[in-house]
Amino acid sequence: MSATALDDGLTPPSAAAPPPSARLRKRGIGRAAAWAFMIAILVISVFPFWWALRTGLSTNGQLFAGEQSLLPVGYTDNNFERVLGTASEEEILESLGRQNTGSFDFLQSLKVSVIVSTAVTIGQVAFSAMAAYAFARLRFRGRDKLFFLFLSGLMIPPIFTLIPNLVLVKNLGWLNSYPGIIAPFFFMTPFAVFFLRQFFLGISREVEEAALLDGAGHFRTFFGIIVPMSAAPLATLSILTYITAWNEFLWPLVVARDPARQPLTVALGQFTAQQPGTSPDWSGLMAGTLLAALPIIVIFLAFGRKVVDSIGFSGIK
Amino acid sequence: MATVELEELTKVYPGGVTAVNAMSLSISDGEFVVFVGPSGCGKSTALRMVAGLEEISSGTLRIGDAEMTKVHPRDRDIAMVFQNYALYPHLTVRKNIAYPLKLAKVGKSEMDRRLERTAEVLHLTEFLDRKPAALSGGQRQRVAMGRAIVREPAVFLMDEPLSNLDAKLRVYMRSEISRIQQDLGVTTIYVTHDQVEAMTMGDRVAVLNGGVLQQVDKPSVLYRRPANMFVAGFVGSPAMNLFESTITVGDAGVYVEMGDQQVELPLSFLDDCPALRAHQGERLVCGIRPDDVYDAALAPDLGQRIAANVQLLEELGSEIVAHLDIGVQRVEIGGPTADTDDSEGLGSAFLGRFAQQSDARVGERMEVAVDVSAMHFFDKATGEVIRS
Repeated sequence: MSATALDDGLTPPSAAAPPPSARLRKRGIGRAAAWAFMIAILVISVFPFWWALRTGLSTNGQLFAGEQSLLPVGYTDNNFERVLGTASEEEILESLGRQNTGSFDFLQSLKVSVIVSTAVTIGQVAFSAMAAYAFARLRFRGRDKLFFLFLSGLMIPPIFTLIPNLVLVKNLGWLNSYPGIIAPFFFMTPFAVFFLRQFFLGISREVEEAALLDGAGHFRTFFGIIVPMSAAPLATLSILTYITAWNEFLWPLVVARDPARQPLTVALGQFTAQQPGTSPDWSGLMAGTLLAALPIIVIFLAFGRKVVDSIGFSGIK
Repeated sequence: MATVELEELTKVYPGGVTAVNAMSLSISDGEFVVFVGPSGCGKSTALRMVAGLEEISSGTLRIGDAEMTKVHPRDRDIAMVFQNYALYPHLTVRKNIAYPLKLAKVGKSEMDRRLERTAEVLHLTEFLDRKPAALSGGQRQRVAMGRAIVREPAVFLMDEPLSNLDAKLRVYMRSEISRIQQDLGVTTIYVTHDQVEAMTMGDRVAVLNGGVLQQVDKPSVLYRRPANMFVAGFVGSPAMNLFESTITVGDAGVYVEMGDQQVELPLSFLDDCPALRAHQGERLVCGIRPDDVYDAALAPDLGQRIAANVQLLEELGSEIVAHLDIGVQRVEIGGPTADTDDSEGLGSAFLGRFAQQSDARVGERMEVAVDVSAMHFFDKATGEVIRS
């Protein structure tokens, strides 16, 4: 019987597939390679943060003596105190090894960053959502052409609009003010409108028609039905917008020369510029940078999953 | 509760496509009317025009005594149940049902009274605090019904509300909707593509095809006296046997050609169908329902006999659907037939519905009895029935 089967060109099961142990070994190697790759990516991603923390916890004067060390050199937490403005002159001298040449009001800049990022996020998400709903659902002549035109704004590099915006803000008398820093980002961005429009298009039209028949107008349908149904993408957009606004550097640098109106990104830049070229305050800079990134790290840790999911959802990877 | 009058209602889309063409229909107070037809026949568009969700291109719509042609949907005093239920996913069942009352600023005590009554009628009391995602398909469907009922509207509109349910639940919900409609006595327009739903639920059924209302009448009348070939072929499952034929009027009777055989109708048939005489000798379309085709061995005293080859037998338990070859070619009605129609597949098949005791065998030649008094004749060119 088996001879007949072989004669017919059939092969015994053992020859057709590798034995289970070989398969397991192959799978094990694959797994190990995947883990090694993931660990490498993790180290590459996390190492800069660790290096910043290690430098921030080191005594600035001893940094070059122990530059090979992965651990803090001459451990001190004075740098963080200096950045927060709570260190005494003696502590500054001890950690820096010289007089403090650069300084910035961390808490004031933190306040500016929070106000600007919060205002931009609220404005941008609210206006983008309304615009996106209009582009997704309202029927008016030239809607799709207008949307295409609007979307083409995505292609314009931000640097192109920098000077016109600056002239406008200057003429409005908004230099060194919150409105001046916030205005260009307050209303909407083509990306935010596009992102939300795609989601709104996916909402069943029948739900809106049901609301219409139940007696709701466009505004009530939007705020009472559509917005609550879109909580997830709105939250995601809020997080992405907040992070982008928090990290914005160029515009506030141009528009806010007054240290009292400088967000953390600009203030840290100024702090670096104040250091003597021969012995920059790396420890203070790293401590300030870490503190500035802390709110965003917290937000990302809390809502990271949502952001990743929604980036996948919107197809922008 | 109210009457609904559609006068020459027409919908032409911007591209020039006419979805509904001059549809006129008068619906009585408390009546349950079903719009049925194949996909794309305009039944949903007609319903949406009544709802105000589609602009009416021309014609007049009246609900009760008021003209509603251009009135905003929320002011038409109608409630609609959608195919995918259209529930608000972020609201509980209670809030979903109460939503229209909240918008209408109904007082709390009145709102609670109506909510409780609605939940009771629909057996939803225990689910009031759940969200739609935590409900089964049937329960969601009942919540959608509840949102319509609670408003106590003049007219219910239902757009294929059962099409997302499985077959068993659909049968159950069919009877539930009929029961609720009878209890409330609200004028109802119900859209479906399922003719079984249409026939079992509607006081009257309006059959549409290509945007044109073909016939509107009681289900039994549609079944027994179809106005044209489309209605004859669409209504009923399995579909009516339609085949080309020629008639000859003789001294003793009317002879109908069936392939190379012929059956004889009594002359009295012409009393009910006098126009048939004028079509003598012409090619016309003859129709006979499978219900009127019997296994001759089980119906010794019934109908005219013809010989047939058995091609296929579908045993349904209580009956057998026999696919027979009697030498005629089926005439198709053009549009797709209902989902439950199982007559497709054998182009030449002539269907008979035999009692379960039939001894018919595939491949054998047998004698079948045709109840000729139930025959229909249609003008081949216009498709209209030839009657009076």
